[in-house]
Amino acid sequence: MRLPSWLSAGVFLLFGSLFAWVLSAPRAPPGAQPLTQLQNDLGERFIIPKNGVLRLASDASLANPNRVLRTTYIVDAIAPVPSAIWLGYVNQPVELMVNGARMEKLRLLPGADEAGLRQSYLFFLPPELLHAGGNSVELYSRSPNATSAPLSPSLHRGMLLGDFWVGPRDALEAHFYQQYRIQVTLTEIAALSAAIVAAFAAMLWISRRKEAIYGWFALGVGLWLVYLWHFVWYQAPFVGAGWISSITIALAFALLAIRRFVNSFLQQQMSSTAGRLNKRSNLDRGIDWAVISAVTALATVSLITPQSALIAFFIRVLMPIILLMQSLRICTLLIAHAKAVRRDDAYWLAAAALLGLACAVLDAGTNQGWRTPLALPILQLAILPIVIVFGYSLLQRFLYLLGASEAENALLDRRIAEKSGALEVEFQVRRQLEKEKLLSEERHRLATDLHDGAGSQLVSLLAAVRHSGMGQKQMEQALIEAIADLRLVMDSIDSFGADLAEALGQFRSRLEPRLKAAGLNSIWRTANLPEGLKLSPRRMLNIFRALQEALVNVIKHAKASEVQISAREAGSALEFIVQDNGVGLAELPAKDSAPRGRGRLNLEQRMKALGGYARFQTVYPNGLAVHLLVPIPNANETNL
Amino acid sequence: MSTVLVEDDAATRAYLFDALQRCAALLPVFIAENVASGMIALQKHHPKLLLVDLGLPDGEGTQLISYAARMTPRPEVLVISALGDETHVVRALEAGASGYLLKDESPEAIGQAALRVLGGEAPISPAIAVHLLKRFRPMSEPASNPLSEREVDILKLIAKGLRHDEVAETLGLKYSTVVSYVRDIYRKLSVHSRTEALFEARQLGLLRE
Repeated sequence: MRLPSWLSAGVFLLFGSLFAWVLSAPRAPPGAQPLTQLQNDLGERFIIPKNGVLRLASDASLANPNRVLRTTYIVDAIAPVPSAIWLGYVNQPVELMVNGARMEKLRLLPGADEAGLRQSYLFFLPPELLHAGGNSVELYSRSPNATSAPLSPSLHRGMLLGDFWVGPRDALEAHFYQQYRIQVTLTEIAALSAAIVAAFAAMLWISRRKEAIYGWFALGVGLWLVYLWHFVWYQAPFVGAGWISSITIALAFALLAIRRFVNSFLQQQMSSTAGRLNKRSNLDRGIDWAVISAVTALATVSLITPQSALIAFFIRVLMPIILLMQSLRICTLLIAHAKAVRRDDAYWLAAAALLGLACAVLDAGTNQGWRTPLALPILQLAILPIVIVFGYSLLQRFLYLLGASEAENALLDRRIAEKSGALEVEFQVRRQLEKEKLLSEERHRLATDLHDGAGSQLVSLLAAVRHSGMGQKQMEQALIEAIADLRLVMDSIDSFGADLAEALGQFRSRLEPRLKAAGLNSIWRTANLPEGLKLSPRRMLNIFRALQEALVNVIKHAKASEVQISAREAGSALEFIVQDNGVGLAELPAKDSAPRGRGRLNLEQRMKALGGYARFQTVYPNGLAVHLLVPIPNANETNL
Repeated sequence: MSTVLVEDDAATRAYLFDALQRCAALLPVFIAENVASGMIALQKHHPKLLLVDLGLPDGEGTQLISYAARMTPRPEVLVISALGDETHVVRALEAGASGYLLKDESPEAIGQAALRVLGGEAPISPAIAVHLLKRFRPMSEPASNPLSEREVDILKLIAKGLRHDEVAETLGLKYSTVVSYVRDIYRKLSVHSRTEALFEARQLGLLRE
């Protein structure tokens, strides 16, 4: 929520230049001299203070039975040039006698006497009346209710005088008209400004721009300060209906702004505790509309007719009611809030608002004439405690919000911990399930592999022993093969996750001693396999079983002296070649053809199961090459 | 020159005893059936060679291996291995063994393996090489890895199934150099595992600084 910069700059410029202008206004016109001493009917002598402001004895007029007080000024010499007397800011009707002759007075604002407003007067002194020596200047002040007796002591308890100058007529007249013009012009300027600002504020308010309330507040406070300054400086309230209406408008705005601010402040604070404060009530809306329309009407009327009974009605009747409603609304909001939240800062805030209201009512009473006009406005005195209490409330609210957010954070942390704990448990359960599934699959694979390989070999060995008896050599051979297969299975367990090159190395270390024992020189060309090529354990086992079968065939039937085993990656397949320098296919003896044929059949079946194929090729001049081609499966189909 | 054979299975014991008896360099051969009698035989005969099975009725063969590793003169130790139990073999290597021997080898091969160990060789298989590579891999920083680059290269080639002579040819080394590299690797494994054991013991508060 920020005040538009051009608006704040405008407001400051306006009030800044206003202050500068008023302060720079000359206190006394050139050539004029303040009257310095006087004596009244009661025999009191006064030295007029330097600033020219004088308070006469409070009950001077009351002490006089005919309610008229004569104050005599002794003027030593008045220049024989056309002279005049300036009497500033008088709150009572006065008459001036110079050397016994009544002077005709020139009033600043015609009809102001009747309106009860303070006035400045200019008296022309006819040169023929003036003596060369001492002149007597007598001021008769009269209570407005002089005829009605007895006079209430609470009413008009004293006479108020502003500057009292005697000097050249031209200079004083110029000063007088300047003041007059200033007052008239200022009235117009103030009324016009108020009208413009009111229209603008109304527009902002209708378009629901929250920033507008700060502009209103600044305007109200600024004009109120001017008013206070003027009161303190001249010991007199402002003169002129335009001024009064401007100040009233400003106050209305300021109070509206304060109430809107209090409303939004409480809304933010109470959003969770008191629903009924959450939205603007119809009462608030009504007050807003009343303020806006009354202010606009007053500004308009002031602009058109600065002197009118309508203005007086607005100022004396309507605006006080509106201001009182605003203040009461603020107090009821704060009291409701304090009752809802039951915090001491809220109680203090409500108490401060009530204090402010009481002071404002007293000040309003002063303005309405219920109290002596000499009584200073006391709202300004109440501002300090109100600001302190508001600051305290803000601090408390900040601490409260801090505590609330800490509690909220702790709650969130706890919930996160609970959630992550539950997730962790679920994760563990899932991982356990995965693990068990993998284990079960692996167990199944092992059982199958053992059953198909070493198991069936042992069973057939047992059958052969029982059926026909067996030579020790044959039995040893069968056992060696069973153990070799068992070892392949166990290697496949051990090399789980190893790459093909390493597994092939292991296979080589198993087979090489057997080949050597059979008198075969073996040459392995397997080092060129790429690193990191991984196959499933079952696939590797089946490949090695096929290779073992091919090598055992070489041992048993080929009558070779050398065998070469090579492996390479060929595109998306693996190619293994087992090549011997033995008898080849054609020269097989008749009795060997059956086993070798069966070996060939086994190999072909195995390759088919792997999705590849086996090719047998006679090598010139002698020997046999077995090509085994195995496709490399994609990463996602790892089994078989 | 003498040999101690510790094996609980009677048939295997007899088979191995026969195989060892054929080599004059290994004689006399003393046999034991368990850790206790093996310990007595070690103390009594101070053999040049110890053949030991890992699973014994009254304890672990590694107890005997550790004991032998502290003897002076220190006997060469071969662990008797069955099928595909490289994990056990590595454990024996960590305890200080110089190699392994397969039970189902032919008698000639067994005798030759024993003689080669006495001659300073260290039998190694691709599976053991893979195990060793894994064992040392956790130390990711090259500076803290006890194995040199050359040693790692040798282990990698052995893991692919190359024989010592092929390794020597591939790396442009002498056969004997490769052999001594493998022995160094085994020694480092044993030292490394002891350091680790000490470290763990300190961590557990079993030892004072």
